[in-house]
Amino acid sequence: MAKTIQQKINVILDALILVFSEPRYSFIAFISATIMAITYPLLFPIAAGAKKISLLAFRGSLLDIAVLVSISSLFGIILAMQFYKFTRISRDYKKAGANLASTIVGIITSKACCLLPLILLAMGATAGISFFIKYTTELRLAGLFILCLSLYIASLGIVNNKCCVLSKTDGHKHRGML
Amino acid sequence: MLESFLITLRETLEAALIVGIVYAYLKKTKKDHLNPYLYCGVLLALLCSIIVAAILQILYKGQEARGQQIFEGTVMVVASFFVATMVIWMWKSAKNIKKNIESRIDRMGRNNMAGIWILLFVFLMVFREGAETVLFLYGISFQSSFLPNIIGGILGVILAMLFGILIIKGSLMVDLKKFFVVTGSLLLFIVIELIAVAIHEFQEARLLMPASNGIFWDIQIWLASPDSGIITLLPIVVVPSIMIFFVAKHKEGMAKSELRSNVLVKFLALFLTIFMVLFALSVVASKEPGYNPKPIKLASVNTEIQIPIKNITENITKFVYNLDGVDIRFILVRASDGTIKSALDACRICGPIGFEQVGDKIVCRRCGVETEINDIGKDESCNPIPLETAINSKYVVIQVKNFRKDMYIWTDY
Repeated sequence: MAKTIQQKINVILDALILVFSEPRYSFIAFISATIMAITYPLLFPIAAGAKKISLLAFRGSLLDIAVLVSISSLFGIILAMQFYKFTRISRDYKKAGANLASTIVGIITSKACCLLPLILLAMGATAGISFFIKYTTELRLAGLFILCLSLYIASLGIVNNKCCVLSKTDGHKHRGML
Repeated sequence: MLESFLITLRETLEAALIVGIVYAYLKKTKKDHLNPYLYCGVLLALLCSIIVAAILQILYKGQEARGQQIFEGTVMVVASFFVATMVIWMWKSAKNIKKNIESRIDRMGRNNMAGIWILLFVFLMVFREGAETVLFLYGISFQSSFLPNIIGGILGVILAMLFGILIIKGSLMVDLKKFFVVTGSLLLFIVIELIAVAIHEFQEARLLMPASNGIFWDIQIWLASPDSGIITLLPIVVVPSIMIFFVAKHKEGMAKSELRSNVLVKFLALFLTIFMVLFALSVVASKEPGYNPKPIKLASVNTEIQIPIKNITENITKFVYNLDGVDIRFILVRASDGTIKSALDACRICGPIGFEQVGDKIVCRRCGVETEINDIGKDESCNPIPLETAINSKYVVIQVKNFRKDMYIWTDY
């Protein structure tokens, strides 16, 4: 059944309750959001051919700043959510006696659900930063939309607790998220 | 748009912090019956700030702004007294806040004057910020178009209100004692800033001696300068936001809706923190480097200096003349109406630090006060000190004796 926007927002909020209840994930969200917000304007002129880092990269309209803040905040939160999920998955693999290599392989191969938000995150962020190169409103909106979608997918994985194969100890394999 | 945004944000954030703290305290100590005094204080202040700003504008239009400076300085001194009183009261209350909440015997709550005190206090803070906002917005309305100004101004107020909501909601999520210690320290910072600006206003009105050299005066002038505005706002927003983001914890037995609301508050704290950091960087990066030409050395002929008129352009030209071993700098520039404006490259408040040109204004390199090029020659506030000149068909002529009366600016600093 199709969920209303309010229900989708509640899914995100419920996931955030779980993630932010542990200080380390709050810390990850905060630090990654701040680093992203500051390094993006500094690094992209360099990528575009500028020879040195300059504060002038921060020149922008209020809209530019608001978009960058939104993208960075979402980026930080999604990253914290991903860390939250990976920690739980690897903990479950560890409990099941898997070694590091098989844990990594397990995450990558069997659980595209865990990587999907990361891929979307990268896409959204890349689209979002495009306003430093060309002022394209559509791309900004697309970036934000992709990040919101990524946030929702990541939240769904946390709330439904279906992200990990070995999350249950009853010996049965559970279907991956989505 | 950015200018009006900055003005409303700067002026309303401090008021939002204070109103937010008072509201949170009343809520936490279950003295909600005093809330109407808080609302009345805010509304009354908003109304009065518009009326008083309009009256000041009419009274001092085209005249010397001395009265306005004295008025602003006085309001700031009174406001700083009230804020300092509030900090002391907050810190005292914070020690026994748990006991006070339980027994509801807080002295402030029992006292019938408490409501009046809250009204007066909130009124003064909001009134000061409100009147300044109206005056500043009125000032920039001549320089840029109406709609972007309005949008920028409204966005600034919205952001400040979001910050107020964060303070109110966030204070309910953290230990109030710690919260009061942190926000109280920030309020003390506001007290220092208010006093610094008040001193500058009184100096401009010539009620106080001008600043001299030394770390104290450097800090005072920096705090009073427009440049410091966004930098001083940073800790006011960022510190409580970080505190709420990291310290606020979910309590057991909380309803789901309450937990969701808390998470939203945390998100708001994260958003505001990053926004303020980026906005501060943006304002610093947007600041145009001023035009500050190297002074041209001049010599006198028969006790007068002659400078060809054709050399004077709409960009300032600086000259230096050595009088009895003291290098005295002065500025010549052509105003928009074609007249030649002359002044010493110094002001009576900040001394011989000098000015630089940004667009059609010159800006004090110490306190950042701006003067329109057309207003050079008016001996008021932080304007460059007027220099008497005579202009003939080919030259600007300056008598060497004209330098003597203000030579003390270079020798005494």
